[in-house]
Amino acid sequence: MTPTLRGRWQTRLATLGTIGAAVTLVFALRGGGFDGTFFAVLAWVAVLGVAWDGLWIALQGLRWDRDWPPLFQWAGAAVEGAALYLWIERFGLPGIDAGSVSPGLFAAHYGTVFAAVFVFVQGPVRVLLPRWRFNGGRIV
Amino acid sequence: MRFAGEKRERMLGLWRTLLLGRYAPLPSAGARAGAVSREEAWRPPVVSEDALRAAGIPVEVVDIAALGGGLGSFVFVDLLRCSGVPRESVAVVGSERSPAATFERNCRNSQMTGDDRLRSSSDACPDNPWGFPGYGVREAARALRRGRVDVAIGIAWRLFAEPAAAPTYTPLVDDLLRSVDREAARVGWAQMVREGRVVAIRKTAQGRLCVVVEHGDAGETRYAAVCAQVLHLAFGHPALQITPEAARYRERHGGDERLVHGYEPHEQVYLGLRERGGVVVVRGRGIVASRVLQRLAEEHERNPGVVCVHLNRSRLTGGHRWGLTRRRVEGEFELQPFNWPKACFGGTLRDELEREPPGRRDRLLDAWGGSTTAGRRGWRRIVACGLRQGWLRHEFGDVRAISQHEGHLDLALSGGRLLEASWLIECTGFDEGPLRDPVVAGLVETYGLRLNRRGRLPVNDHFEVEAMRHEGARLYAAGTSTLGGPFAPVDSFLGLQFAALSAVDDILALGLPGLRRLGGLRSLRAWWRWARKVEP
Repeated sequence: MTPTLRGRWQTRLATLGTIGAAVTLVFALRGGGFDGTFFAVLAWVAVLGVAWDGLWIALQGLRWDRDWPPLFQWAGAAVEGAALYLWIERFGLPGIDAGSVSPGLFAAHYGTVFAAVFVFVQGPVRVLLPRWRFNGGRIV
Repeated sequence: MRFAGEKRERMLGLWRTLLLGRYAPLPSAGARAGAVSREEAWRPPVVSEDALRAAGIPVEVVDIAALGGGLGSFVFVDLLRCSGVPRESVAVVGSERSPAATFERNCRNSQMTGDDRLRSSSDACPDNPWGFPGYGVREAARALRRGRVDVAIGIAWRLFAEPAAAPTYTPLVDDLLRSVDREAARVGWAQMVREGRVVAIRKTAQGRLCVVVEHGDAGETRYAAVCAQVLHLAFGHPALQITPEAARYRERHGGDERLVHGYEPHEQVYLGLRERGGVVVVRGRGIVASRVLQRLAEEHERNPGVVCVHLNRSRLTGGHRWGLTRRRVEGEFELQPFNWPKACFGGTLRDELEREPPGRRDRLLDAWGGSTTAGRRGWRRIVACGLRQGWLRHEFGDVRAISQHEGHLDLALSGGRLLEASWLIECTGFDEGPLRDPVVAGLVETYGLRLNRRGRLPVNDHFEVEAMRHEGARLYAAGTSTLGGPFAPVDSFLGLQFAALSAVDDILALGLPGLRRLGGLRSLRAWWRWARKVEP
């Protein structure tokens, strides 16, 4: 991938808002009730991701090809996920109490959302948005 | 301008000779009394379709005509068909029936077999406007079907880790050719092709653009005209780049097969080396030079008497720079996965070039471009081993002259040095100046088109040659003739796809029958038909 900053933002928000929300709904409905914490986590992944993307695009600019290989996407997701979990565990965030999220469930939810988005972005997105790959991930 | 002055005049002269000499008027038995000769009928800048008919030239009217008939035309037409344009609305004018014929010939001549890998990314698929599934996924799926799980995992790993922790995946030549053949059959390519050679492009009094086509064999030359609201020009590489000293040598010694171009058939070089050994000089730092060195390494294994000299003007002291980054250099080659940095195909660098005013794009193109090759392990090993073992060496200097001496070639280098060689392979690529093509030269002369700073066709961000707008008719271009426009890697599969998307998005405004914007569910439906191999 060779995303631009706007492309990163738009793709992140669009995929988390659709695929991420669908995956999160499954987790939220787990056990018969509705646990809104998962949606709060998803929202914070999206919001904080806007800042993370600024860092990733700066690092991308240090590569001759200005690309962001899939391996880097996984590494970046691992860093983002670990940082978010540690923050939640210690300080909490609006909508999420400190220490209220189990590491196993967080990893399962976060990992599943990222994997689903990753697979979608690697190919199927191009079927719905044929110009996406030429526009650095921009949708509009 | 690249072809300014004398050179331009020479090319225009060539065009005139071709038009007025080679295509000299034949008896126009079919022409009505009083009608102008066939050549006269298309001489004016604005021709009458009726006058063409009256001169005995059959005129076909379609909505869209693609000129060239190679992969550039194919990618454009494929997108049109996937976007809803019926087959009957499109004509393709080209000299070959298969869209990949020229590409395949260039591959073969530059020593690539069907099992070789192209320098192209997995999702650069001329047979598929979406680039999904890419060639990598298809190759992995095929390996799985054959029970080769290890191969499939290897491909998946390369796609995942390239280029940071694994070599960049690139598709097989045969996979690409087969996929293009399959897609050509699906979209009805054969029914759209009008086999022939383009002679001229004109505006018509009826508000269309028209292309005059010559076809027939040596016995009888026939002409036909195809008129359309949209013309798409993708003639490909107009000529091989022959260095001036090589051109002078060829003028003196005609068909001497000791001096060849990497894109010409030159199997005799390798057979001669295998039999007798000798010194072969390779010039150039691109992908063809790498592939030729690979073949020479194979011949050296067979005959240790094969010695190779890699000759360049000067030593590479460092790669091109851009911002804080620098292109890697190894073994006198600049290395990068594709012929432009990846972000030129659809990232920050593409945006940067598009934002830059046309007059200032040269600076960026110079920084990102230049001769490079892929950093394949095998090639890097060949160079390192060759240098270590002594059968390969580097030489530097300008070649002042090439001459024959006792069955050898003598290369007179700057500084008074002399290099003796049995063979010389020029891997100097293509001469991309569009004026090398007589049809484009004629177009430029007839309509006074001003070429861009790279000496190529002036196209806008939709790859339209705006200067050729004629009432509702438009001319678009793609490929190497458009370098210097809004997109750098125009001479690539992705570049052809980008140019096609940009052009078709622009053509939507003309309201041509059947044409709808490819996107969302319409795109999904079109892709599903592709996946099921059903006609669009």
